[in-house]
Amino acid sequence: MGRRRELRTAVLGPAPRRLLTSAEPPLRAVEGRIVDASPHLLVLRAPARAGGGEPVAYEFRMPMSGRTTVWHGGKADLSALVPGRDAVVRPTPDGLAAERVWVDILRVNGVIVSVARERASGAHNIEVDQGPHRPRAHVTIPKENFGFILVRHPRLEPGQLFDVIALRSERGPVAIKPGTAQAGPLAEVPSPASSTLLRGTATWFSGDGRGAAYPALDPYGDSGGCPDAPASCASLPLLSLGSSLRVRNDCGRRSAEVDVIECGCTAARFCDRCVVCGTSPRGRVVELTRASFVDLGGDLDVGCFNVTLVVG
Amino acid sequence: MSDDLLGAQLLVLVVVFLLACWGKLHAPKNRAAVGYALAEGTLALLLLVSDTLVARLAAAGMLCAATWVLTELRATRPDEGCGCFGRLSRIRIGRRTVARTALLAGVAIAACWAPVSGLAVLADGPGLAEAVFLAELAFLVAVSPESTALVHRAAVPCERRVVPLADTLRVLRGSAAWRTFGVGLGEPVETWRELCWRFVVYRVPGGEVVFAVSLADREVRVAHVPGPLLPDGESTEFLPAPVLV
Repeated sequence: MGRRRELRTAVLGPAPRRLLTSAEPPLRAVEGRIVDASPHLLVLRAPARAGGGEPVAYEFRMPMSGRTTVWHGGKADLSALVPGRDAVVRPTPDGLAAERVWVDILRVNGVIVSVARERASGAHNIEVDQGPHRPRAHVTIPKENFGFILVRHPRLEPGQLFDVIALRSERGPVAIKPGTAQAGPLAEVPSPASSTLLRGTATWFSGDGRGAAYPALDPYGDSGGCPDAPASCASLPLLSLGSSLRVRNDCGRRSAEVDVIECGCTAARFCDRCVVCGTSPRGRVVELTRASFVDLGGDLDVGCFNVTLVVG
Repeated sequence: MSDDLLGAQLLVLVVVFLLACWGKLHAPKNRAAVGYALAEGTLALLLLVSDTLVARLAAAGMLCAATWVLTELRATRPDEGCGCFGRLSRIRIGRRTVARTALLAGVAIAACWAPVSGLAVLADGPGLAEAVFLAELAFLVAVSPESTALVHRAAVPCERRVVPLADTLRVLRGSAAWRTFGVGLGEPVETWRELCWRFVVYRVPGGEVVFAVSLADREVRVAHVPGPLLPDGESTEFLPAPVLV
C-alpha cells in the first residue's frame, strides 16, 4: 500500500499537510504472547520485521514496576500473566517500563444474528455478524455480567447492534462489559459533517499490528470497500485501503499517522457517542487495531476515545 | 417595444461573455483558454460601451461557430466538456450544451439590430428591457447543464459523492491526457480513490503510468513512474507492531 502513496505523490505532488493542534507523539505499544513473567519483568514473544526482511519472532522484555496495572476480565494481579496468554502492553510515557497490560482482551461488535440461553448456567450465547471482513463470533454472556451488558443493550434480539469488550477463553469470547457508552446504539441521526477534518468516536477492533479500519471505503476498483456496506452514520469522505489518516486522541492529546488496512463496514452502523472526555459528535469515524489504539493512549477496556481525524 | 427587446439581447450577451471570461480565467486550462477569455472579455466591453456593428457581428459569428464546433465535439469527444465557462463546463457535452449555445447564437444575431449600446439600454432605468433581460437570463440558467451540475455538487460534496468506476474510466478515455499517453494501454492494473481523486494505474515497459481523475471537475493528470521501486507487498517500513525497542 506504500506504493499507492508514491504514485499519488508522483501525479498530484505531496499531499497538503493539515496539521492538528499540538499533541504528544504516540506511545509504542507491544502486543504478543506471554513467554515469562515475574514481578519485575514481562517477556513477550511477537513477530517483527527489521530492514524490510521477513518477519522474525523476537522476545520483548518489558520491565514492570509497582504501578503497572493488569487487566484480565477486570482489574487483576500479576498471576494473570500466564505464559501462552495474549497481551497488549502500553509503556510508560518515557518508554522504559510497562504501565498497563491487557491480557486476552478481545472486542466483538456487529449485528446480532441469534440469541440463545443456557438453562443450566443462565448464560446467554450470542452469535454476532461482524461484517464481511471479520469472522462471525459466538460470545457468551455469563449470568453475572448479563446485567451490565443489558444496560447498554436492552434489546438483545437478532438485528440489533452489539458491542462488547470480551475475554478470550477456551469456549470463545466471554463478554465482560459493553463496548459502548450508549444504550441501544442503533444508527439514528446522520451527522452533517462533510469536511476532511472529522470529529467523533474512535474504537478498536481485534486486529493485529498497527492500522485502522475506516467506515467509508470506496466500493469500486481496488479501494477495498464493500458494495453493500451501510452508509456511514458520520457522513465520511470516501477513501481507500492504504490511505493515510492523521488521528488525534482528544482525551490523551496524542496523535499519530495511521494507514487504512481494512473496511470498517460494521463501525459505519454505529451512531453512538464516546463520553470519555466530554461528549463526542455522533458516529464512529475510525476503528483502530489494538496496538494503534494503545499507541494513542487509549484504554482497551474503556473501548473508545473522542477523536479528531484528518483524512487524505 | 421592439427596441427594448433588442436591447435586452445585448445585455444577455454582455453578461454571458463576462461570465465565460471569468470562468476561463479562474483556472485557465492552457494559453489558448486565456486567449479566448480575453477575446470574450473585450467583446463584452465593446457590446456594453459601443453600438458598433463589427463587435455584434463578431459575437454572432463566434457563437455560430461555437454551436457548430460543439455539435462536432458532441459526436467525437463529448467527455472532454466544452470549457465554455472554464472548469465549471468540464461536464459531458450533451444536447443541452449545444441547445444553449445555439440559443445564444440566436440572441447574438438579434442583438445586431439593437439601436443603442448596452450602457444606453441600462441608462433608461428599469423597464421592459431589464425585465426581458432577467427572464432570458433565468431561462438560460435553467437550460444550462452547468447549473444542474452546480446544484448536484452543492448537494453532495465530491469527497462523499459515490462515482462508479465506469464513469471515471469514460472521463479518462475522453481526456487529452489519455490521447497523449494512454492510447493502447489496455486494462488498468490498479484503481483506487482518495477523496475527490480516483487513481488509475497502467503497467508499461519500464514502469507505470498513473492517471489521477478529479471527481470534482473531471480534470485529468498523468505521471510516468519508473519502477516499481519495490516488489509488491514489500515495504521499507518495520512491521506496524510490535516495534523493536
